[in-house]
Amino acid sequence: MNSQAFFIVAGIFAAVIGLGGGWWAAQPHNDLSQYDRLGAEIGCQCGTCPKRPIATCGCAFADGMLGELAELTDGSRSDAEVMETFAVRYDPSVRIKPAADGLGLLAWIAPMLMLTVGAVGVGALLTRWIAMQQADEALADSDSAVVPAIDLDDDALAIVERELADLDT
Amino acid sequence: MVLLGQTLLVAAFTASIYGVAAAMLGARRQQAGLVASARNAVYVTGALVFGATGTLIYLLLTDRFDVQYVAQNSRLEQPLPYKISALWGGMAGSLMLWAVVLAGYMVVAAWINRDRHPELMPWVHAVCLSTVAFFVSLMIFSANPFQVLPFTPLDGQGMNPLLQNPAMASHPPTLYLGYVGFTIPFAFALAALISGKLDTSWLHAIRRWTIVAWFFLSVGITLGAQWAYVELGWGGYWGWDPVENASFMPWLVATAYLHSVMMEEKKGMLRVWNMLMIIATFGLCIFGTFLTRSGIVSSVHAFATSNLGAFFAAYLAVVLALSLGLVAWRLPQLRSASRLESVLSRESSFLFNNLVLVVACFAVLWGTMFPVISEAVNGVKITVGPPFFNRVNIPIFLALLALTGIGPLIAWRRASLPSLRRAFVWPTGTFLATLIACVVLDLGGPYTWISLALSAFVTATVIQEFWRGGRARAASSGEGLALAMLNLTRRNKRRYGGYVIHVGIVLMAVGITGSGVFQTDVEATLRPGETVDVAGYRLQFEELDIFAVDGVDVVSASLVAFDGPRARFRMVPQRHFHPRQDNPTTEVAIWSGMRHDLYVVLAGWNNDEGGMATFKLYLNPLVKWIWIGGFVLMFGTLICLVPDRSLSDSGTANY
Repeated sequence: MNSQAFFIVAGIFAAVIGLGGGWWAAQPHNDLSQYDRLGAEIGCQCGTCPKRPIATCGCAFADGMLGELAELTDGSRSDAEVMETFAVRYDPSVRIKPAADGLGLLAWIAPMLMLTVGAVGVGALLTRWIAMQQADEALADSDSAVVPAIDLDDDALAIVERELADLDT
Repeated sequence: MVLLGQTLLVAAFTASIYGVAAAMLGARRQQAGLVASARNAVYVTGALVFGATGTLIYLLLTDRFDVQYVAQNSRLEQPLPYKISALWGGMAGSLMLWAVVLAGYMVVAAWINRDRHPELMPWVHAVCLSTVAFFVSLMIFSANPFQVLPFTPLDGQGMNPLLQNPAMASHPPTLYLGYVGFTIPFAFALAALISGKLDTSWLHAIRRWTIVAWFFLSVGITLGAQWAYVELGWGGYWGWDPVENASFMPWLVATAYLHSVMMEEKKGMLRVWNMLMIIATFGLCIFGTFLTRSGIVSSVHAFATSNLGAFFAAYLAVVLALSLGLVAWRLPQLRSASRLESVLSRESSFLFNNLVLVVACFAVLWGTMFPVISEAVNGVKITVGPPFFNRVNIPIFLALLALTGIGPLIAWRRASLPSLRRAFVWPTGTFLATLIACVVLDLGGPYTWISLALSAFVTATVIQEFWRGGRARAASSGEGLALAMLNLTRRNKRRYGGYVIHVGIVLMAVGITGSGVFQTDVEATLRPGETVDVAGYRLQFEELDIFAVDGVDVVSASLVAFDGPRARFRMVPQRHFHPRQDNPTTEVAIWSGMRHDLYVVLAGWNNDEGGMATFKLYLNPLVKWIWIGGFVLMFGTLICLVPDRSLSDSGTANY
């Protein structure tokens, strides 16, 4: 496989990794309880905080929202249902983590895709530059190795030797 | 005085426009007289902008509430330092700060280079003066700081109480010194493109300017984080707010440039890329200024929504179109004989470092603008907050931390496997030992382990570099090891100053990891005499006090912290009610140690029930290391900035 084909395959592989990484990053933290998980994904709506997660905001308004979250996360509702309830009560902007589907998924995928495909791109660039350098070195080596064959008779050779001797002095 | 201020602004605008015309004509026709006149226009414009700024400060200090800006941002009882800092507390004043900082930089650049770079300087003057003209025109036509009210209020509204904080008094000027400072490298880059003088002289001319701007931007970001920590009362220091992000993005790209420019200086490579990085950095500075003034994204830090957003968007579009057009025009001359000898080289590590920094910038930009993008695409604004930024950026920054350690271990041009083995053994051993220790001690999760292990790896790299270099010098010169290391740093300030900056980054990474992962918090409602325990401390609530200072009503709670049976320190969290402001401000009480901060917020109180109070108590591990890391980073940058004596003596040093 030549290097161009290799990097095309590598680029496709990197794109798959980037897409997968973005999708993975978008998934909810299933190792946390529903209360902790959604507390980190719902933004404070007090208007003063920069929509910080209510779990860490600390303002009185966020505390009130946390109380509501505690009531809603009694095990009878899915994450989507709880989020929908908050969106209706407050504003759709209450959700500060883009969803793992639709346009929201694009938010997650784009940076990952740029990183993985970019890494392959840098790799390809490096390979190209190194190949150019090696080609230059090979050319320089071959230039120095070639000695033009010149047939000189004895008189001409004596002239050259005398000229060289003059140069030395 | 109002008339004087307005006249000075109009005169500054006129002088700057004249200077732009004179510089361009002088450069085109190669008329030294016109170029000298343009340089004089730089000095005159600078003096006029300084005069206008001085006038506004005078109006603030003399409580001239007939001036709208003074009435909105100051009041009679406002402490003197905050009357001065009110200069940048509002929209029009912040534009004045932009203009005056740029005027200062522009004058210094013109003075230092008055006998240097004759092909470049006219165009540098033109770019700087046109930027000043833009900001002054905004003040004249849209956000006039000298606008007079039809009546004179008895007192002003006062500056936003959140801004009345020592860190906030110094944060905007330092941040602006950073933002605006990148105008000078940008001006030199454009000058090189326009004049066609694309050798490395423009790079040498901007080397120190770039580091100075980067230094102030770093200081400004750190001060902003500290302000958020002590003033906003949520226990954290970075909330991925759009305005915070706006300052972070140019920092990331400028950091990429500071690395990639070494490849151009050493090997003549990445010439187009470096040009793009300078343009992007300046563009992101303008973009950040646009973001805080346009109202397109919601932020607690933003100024009131205004019509300035359209002006900034148009200006940014012109700047980018012009700059990128010039790059495209000069592309054949910018193409370098890009050659690399090996993948295992410092050059390739710098390329990956640039990739990661640019991707980090993209991720921040993408998240910041995604609400706008999503609304434009399908009409629904998708909010993007800290969960997104943390999740996306943590792996990227870990990769960056790894490259911070790897880069210095690889030789320029080509590294042999034996030399790599020698260079990596000790740092890799440190990495593995730390990783194992983290896993055994069950410190957080995988990200925590990797972050701490990489921090150890980078530290080991830096120590090894100093150690090896110092030993080699000591062996050849007969100096002691400490002196050899010192002289080594003096001989190669940029390299070893850079390593000190890396140590600063590591300390910050450790602080961010510790406080992000191991923060604990407790909420408690107490009566006087009652106690609450938080992470080994017992805090006893003493009393609630209500009083007034400088026209501000203060609710103050006093707690004594016990570490075992011994009272160790007192904490006094407060809430301040400023006149004519809707919401009280939170004045947190922080006890700061090397291991952790104890952070107490007065969340609520009821004076009727014997002075009952509700507290939020946070234990924030290792936060102090973030600020120490900031100081180390500044120290390292200052090492890089120390002039080389031999060059200064010969008069060829570049600024």
